[in-house]
Amino acid sequence: MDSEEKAIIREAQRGNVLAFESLVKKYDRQVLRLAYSLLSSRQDAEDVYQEVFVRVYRKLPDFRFKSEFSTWLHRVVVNYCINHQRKAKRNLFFSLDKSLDPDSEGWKETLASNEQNPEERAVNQELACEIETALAQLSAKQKAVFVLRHFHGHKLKEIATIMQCSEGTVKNYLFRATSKMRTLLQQHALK
Amino acid sequence: MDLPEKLEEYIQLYLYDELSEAEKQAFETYLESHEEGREQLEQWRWFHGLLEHKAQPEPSEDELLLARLDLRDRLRSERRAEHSAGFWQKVSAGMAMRPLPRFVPALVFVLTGVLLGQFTPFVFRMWQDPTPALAPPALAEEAFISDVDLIEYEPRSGSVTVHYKVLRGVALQGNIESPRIRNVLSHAIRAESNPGRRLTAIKASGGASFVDKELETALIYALEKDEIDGVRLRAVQALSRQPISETAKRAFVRVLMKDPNPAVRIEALEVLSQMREAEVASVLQNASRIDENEFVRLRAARALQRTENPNWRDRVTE
Repeated sequence: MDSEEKAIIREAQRGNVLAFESLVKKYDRQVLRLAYSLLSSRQDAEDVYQEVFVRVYRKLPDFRFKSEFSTWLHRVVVNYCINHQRKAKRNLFFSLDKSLDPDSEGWKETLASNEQNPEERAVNQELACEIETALAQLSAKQKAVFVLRHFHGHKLKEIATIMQCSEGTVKNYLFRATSKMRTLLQQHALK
Repeated sequence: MDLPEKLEEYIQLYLYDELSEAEKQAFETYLESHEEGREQLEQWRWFHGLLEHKAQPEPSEDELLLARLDLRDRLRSERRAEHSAGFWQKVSAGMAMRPLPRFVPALVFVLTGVLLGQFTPFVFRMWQDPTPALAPPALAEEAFISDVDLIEYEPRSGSVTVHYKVLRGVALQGNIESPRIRNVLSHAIRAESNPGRRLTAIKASGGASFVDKELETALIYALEKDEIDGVRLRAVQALSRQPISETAKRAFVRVLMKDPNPAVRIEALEVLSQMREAEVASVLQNASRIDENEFVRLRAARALQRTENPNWRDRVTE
């Protein structure tokens, strides 16, 4: 963490709203992307965005600079998403079919490469859907580790700090997640 | 290294670049002499390649802007709630967080006794004094009473102490060129609870012939989130009179795709139909096919026909 960021955080801890808003502006893209990757729903990701930053606003005075601010923030996001997924599963609102979320489909479409022809795009969309379905079969923690490592490029050591567990535990989650994903996607490839 | 017992794990750590230099070299040496290891590595590479088909969606700038505005509103209410939390609530919250040592109640008891003994004659004198202890400050002419927090009334002496807050009214006159006026209008569009005032604020902001980021964001917020159809409609009209930025264009697209009111969708459609872009054309085409309202579909089809006119003028400004 550089000294400028430390100064901004200290200002925000003293109640300076502008300092807090500048922290939001610096990190909110990462927060929204991570929440979306973990929840696969744009609406849920936006809800988590709000909850996370309100919680960070309340808890910021307790932040003691023992870790990077971004790590602390990611921890809040991951914890929220894990709880959110558990609640959703308990309430049977969790959908394994990505295509049921029209909003996120729209979001994804804006990312589709223009160079792909319609057939390629259709195949890729189908594959992306299969990957999403496979991801939904993982436990909340396996998915969190897998997404953080594979799609967000965090090192295992960082993930261990974010999830407040040992590096060995993180490796176990990752190995189980990848094995399960590979089996599921191989089944799809054989179809 | 525990090869080949943990071959799969090593392969994954190798692919994720999580092995130390020494481990990596040992692993590569192992692979050179083991065909089976190389085959497994290829299978895992295939799996990693497959995952690349899952693009990670990127939130757009206007997506983030709206999320920030919502957050700002939530934090504002959070601060308001903090400020209105009573003194005793704070004290009790503090006490609940920290368990008190056992001697504290006894100490409080003793101190209360000492203080009572010390100040009783003074309190008694005050009680008998007909002059009020606090003189009410003169109320400024332009101040309004906002909240009366507490009224203390002593029937014997007839003394009344009123704790209240005052608001000062400000009348600001100017035009849309004034940054302060734009700032207040933006606030009213987003936060004013009275829809009539939101509507007037939107009308007043419609005369801007330049892009003011804060005002534009407030108008976008209104056209996407306001619950009153008429306010959303006015917001589309006001925004369309300004030079149309990329962010505004995306907002119009979203309105056309999602707004529940056909009149608002048609208004957005009319603005979009003045832009010459493949993306807009495909949105219009979609609307002409799938919009639930027949009239919207018809207008979209006509707008599409107009786009084939070579004299067509593009309105989007970067």
